[in-house]
Amino acid sequence: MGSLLSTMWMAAQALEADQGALDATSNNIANQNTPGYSRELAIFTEATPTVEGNLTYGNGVLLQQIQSVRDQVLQLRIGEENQQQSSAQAQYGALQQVQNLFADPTQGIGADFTAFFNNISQLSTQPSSIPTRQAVLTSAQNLVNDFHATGQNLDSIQSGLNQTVAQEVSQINSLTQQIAQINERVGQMQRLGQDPGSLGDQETQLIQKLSQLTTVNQIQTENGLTLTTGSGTPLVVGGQSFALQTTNGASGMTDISSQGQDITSSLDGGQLGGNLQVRDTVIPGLLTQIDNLASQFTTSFNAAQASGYDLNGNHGQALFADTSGPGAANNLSLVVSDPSLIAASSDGSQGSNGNLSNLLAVQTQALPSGANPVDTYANLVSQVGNLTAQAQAEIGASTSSLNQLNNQLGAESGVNLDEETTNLMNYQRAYQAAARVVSTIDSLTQSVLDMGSGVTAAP
Amino acid sequence: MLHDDANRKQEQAEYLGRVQALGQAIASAISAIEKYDRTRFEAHLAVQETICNRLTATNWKVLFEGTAPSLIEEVRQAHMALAQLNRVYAALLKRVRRSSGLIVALYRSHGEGYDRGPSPLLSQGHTWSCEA
Repeated sequence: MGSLLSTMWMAAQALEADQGALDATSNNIANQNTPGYSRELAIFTEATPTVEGNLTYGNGVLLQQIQSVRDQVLQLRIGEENQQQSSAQAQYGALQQVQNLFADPTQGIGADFTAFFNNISQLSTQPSSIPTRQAVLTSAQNLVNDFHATGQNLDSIQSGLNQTVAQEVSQINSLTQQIAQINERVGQMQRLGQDPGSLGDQETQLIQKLSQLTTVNQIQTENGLTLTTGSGTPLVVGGQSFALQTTNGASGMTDISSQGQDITSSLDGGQLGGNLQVRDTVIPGLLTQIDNLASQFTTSFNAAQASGYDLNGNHGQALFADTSGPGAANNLSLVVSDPSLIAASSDGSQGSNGNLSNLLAVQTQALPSGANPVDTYANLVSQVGNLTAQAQAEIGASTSSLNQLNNQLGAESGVNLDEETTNLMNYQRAYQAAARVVSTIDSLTQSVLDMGSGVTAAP
Repeated sequence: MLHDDANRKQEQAEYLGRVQALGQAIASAISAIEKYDRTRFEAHLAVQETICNRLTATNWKVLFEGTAPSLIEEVRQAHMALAQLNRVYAALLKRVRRSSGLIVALYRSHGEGYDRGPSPLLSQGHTWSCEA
């Protein structure tokens, strides 16, 4: 049977529960502008009733927990988008540097090819003219210089990215260390059935930062979160973080390893993934194409030279040193400095220009790679342009996608002031009512005591 | 002849206008996706379809043959802007598909619908990311 004391106890519990709910509401209002904050909900539950015979007496209310409103799917998608956006931004930044090398159509290898073949064409009317021949050699040297410059500039961009990669690995290690510390405490709270609240928000924020650096998979376990790279290399397990190491690889680039295993090629997403993509795939691909162009053009042009005769009546000798394989563009060199050695003649006579058609044909004939030298170079420039445009489009799409996801997250987890004001009034009224119950019971108890004192005071 | 010339100029202007309108419809569709406005998205999708049908019926190379280089450059610029916008649109739609796929996977994992409580799969060591 209920008593004044049990009613007093119920009212006190109600006061406590409403106080907790008011705290949660007040915390929500205070954090309405805090980035990454998830609103908290007060979860009430009915206290276990007391059963006496046929009667069941309610025992009031309990504040079961303060729960943060989180949407795991949205958080997962936002993490993914952060990775993709950061990756695209890193790629775009690096590709813009690459594109600048090829941006001016009046300079560089493409323009050099045109100038070189135009000068050879000039020889058709004056095949014996030394100044005209010298102009051919000068433009050939310009072509060689620009092959060198392009190769060296690409190497330089690659080196810059390599330094960035090492810095990003260090940032990842610092973040995983911080996450592990928080994760341990979050895990302890979860094991006790408590809501991690703002610690959970802090952890989410740090994981979002980590996601901007590389792909992160999250696995919820009894000991908190386990974080791995996209390919499953552990980064954080419970309260322990696993640092990534950097070593100098055989190619001169920084390799990334975890517990002795090279994981460089398996890292994707985020700034690190984007920079690795340009450093290890895009730039080496471009260098290979430039090397092939230098090598195939050299072979093709030297063969055309060999089919004619120079001004001295000798078989044409190679104009360019044979070069092939990696570094062919950097190793390209002009081996002829005497303008009379250009093989314009087809029969060894000085006035002949018969071999010029063979030399000029190099400009329009397909190289083994499938297109003529000018088109091969134009394709390469267009490829860089497409990669840059695609990276830019990915940034735009990620920005739109993040806007969409954040709008939705804000609607679910963000603080709505109208809703919080309504809650505040409800909890306030509930608190006032519970306080009224306490004062009523207090007054009743006093009456009972007075009644008691009246009895004893009676004569 | 003058009449033909005027017609051609009119067609050229209409073509350019359509290319720009298509770009506008794509930009609006992107904005509708950002705001989760399905009705507006579907409306812009219908507009895109109509404009695309009209554009594909026109051979623009023939239409602009022999015209001033400045006009051809204007068409080229419009095509490039549209191509870039289309890249963004395609990449965004791919992301929307990914989000939808996740939600579908989530519904399947719960059988009877979305529940904010812990997934029954969690106790078996599964996570949302595994499920996705």
